[in-house]
Amino acid sequence: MIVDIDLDKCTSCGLCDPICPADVIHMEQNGDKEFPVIQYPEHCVTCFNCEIFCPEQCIDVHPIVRRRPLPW
Amino acid sequence: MLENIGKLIDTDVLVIGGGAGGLWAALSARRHFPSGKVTLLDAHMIGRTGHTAFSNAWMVVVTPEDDLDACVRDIVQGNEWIAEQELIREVLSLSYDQMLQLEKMGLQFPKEEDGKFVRRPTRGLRITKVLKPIGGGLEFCWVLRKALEREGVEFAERVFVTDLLRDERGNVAGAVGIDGRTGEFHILRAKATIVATNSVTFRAGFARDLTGTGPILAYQAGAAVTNAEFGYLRPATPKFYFEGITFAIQDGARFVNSAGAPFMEKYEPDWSDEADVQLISKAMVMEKKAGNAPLYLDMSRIPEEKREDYLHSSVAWMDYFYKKLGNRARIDMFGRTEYFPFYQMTKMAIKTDSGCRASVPGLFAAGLAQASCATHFAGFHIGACNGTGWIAGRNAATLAQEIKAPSLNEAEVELLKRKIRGGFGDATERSEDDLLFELQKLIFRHDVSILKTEGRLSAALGVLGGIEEKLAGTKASNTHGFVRLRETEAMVIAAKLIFAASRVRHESRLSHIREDYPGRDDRNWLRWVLIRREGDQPQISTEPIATPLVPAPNGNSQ
Repeated sequence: MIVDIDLDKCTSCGLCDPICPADVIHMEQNGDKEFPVIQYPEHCVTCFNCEIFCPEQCIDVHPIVRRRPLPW
Repeated sequence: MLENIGKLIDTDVLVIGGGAGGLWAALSARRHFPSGKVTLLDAHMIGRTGHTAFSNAWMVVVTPEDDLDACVRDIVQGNEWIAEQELIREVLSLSYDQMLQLEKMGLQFPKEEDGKFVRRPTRGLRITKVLKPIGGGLEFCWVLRKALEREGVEFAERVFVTDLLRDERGNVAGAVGIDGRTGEFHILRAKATIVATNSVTFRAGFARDLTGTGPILAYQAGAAVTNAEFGYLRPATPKFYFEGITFAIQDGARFVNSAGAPFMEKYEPDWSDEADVQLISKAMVMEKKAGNAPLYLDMSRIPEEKREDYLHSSVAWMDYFYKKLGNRARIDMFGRTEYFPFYQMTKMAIKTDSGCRASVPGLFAAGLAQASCATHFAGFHIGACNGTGWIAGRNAATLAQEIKAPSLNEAEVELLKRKIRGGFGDATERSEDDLLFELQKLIFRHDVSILKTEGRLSAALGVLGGIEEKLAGTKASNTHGFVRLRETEAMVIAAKLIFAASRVRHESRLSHIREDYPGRDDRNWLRWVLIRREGDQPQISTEPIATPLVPAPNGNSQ
């Protein structure tokens, strides 16, 4: 699950928003720039797209997936 | 004026879903109708999302030196005859050329020193071989996206389809949906429409479990769907994602029970731990029933020198995942890890003829939304998507060149828009996530979706009725929630069709395991179980499966 976006390193390129296949990251206005916000962390599918493609390497995804009911 | 109702996009061919099936369908439609307009739609970013993008992209390829008819037999027999034989033959006959096309686009496939492609056998098939591109599904999808851009295919990204459109003759004539971020209403009017989404998953928790809603869209529009009683089962741990069970077992891993004893040989004497994942899942359920759970995958016997291989992958996201598993989560996969059989997705898909034409005119199906067979093995998922995409694209392009632009009833389009508005409202007592969790508690149960009986299926339908009622009163407060809500609705409908079809097939075959009908019955059940919507209820019928190429095992060729 996505846990952090380092906004000090972020250049507001905006790629992480459309590249997320679960609509988890939204670019939002903050002052005169847009910055990414982890809007729906609980819906992250742990695909690492945002971390892999971030040109500044400022996103951190933890490998543990969310809990779901078990077969027994 | 339709333009006053929403954003109107006119196109000759509309392709819904940007995975392997949709990417190939769009390319094929473009090539077969060069002067026409082809639009590829996806709910997210084309080339970076979907079941295909997060896979290894293993694909079945039949080369000129292979025996095509023997490979057709292999797939049909591996599917225990639940297969559209002529379609499978064409899919396989196209596979080599499609791989060469991918290579020309820039996708790389590993080669031996003598220049031959590196191929390997896949579990469950005797002679058919598979190969995978460097970079896996993400690279595969991106290369195809760039090809489509070069060839002038239009993209409609971040559009979530809510309904297929019918024209005044009742033919499918495009789709309506909303922008996944702004909520803007979209009308996509098309002469031919190809549904090429994933089938329905229940969000079992893996990256590739992004659900498709295509088969449900088609069902709601009056098309027949089939194979709802079959599912894709796989052993998995809730602790972490692991793709390499096949290789781990070849390197010494094995499934053990609570006493530490291996159990696979008891259920699968020929294959033991090397059985197909569906058979392992079935054996796990039987072992649990025998009172021997919890069950584990024991990877401690994998030699130290081979372990490093498991921590790397040529597929970027898996590589990140394995590196972080030890560093960040401090999970050692080389021990005994508790495993469960998971119902990952349904095999329910749109029934078509061998030209990928659905039962409603104007509608075509490709990818996992198309019912070429009931089990795809590793490699035939993408293999079938590639081929059905090409065939659906070709035949949709032919239709689009023959007919005039469809005439839409504005009042009906307005009604579909109002239906979307009706899904929004103030936050309700239960969210779509609460209802999804309730549905998962039901559908993931091993004694409901894997080991079935008439009684348990009936009881499950009762529980599902309760979830349906709660769903009807649930509203979304924003676009994100609305999309999730509509996906959950599709899952609930899918579950209803799965339970209903499972009650009808009175035998056990492939992933459909009936405790009360334990044997395979070729005399009575070489049949498709078809579901059509009549009013608001599913109507179930059966029809014989044609066996023009590979005779039925009892000699009863259709």
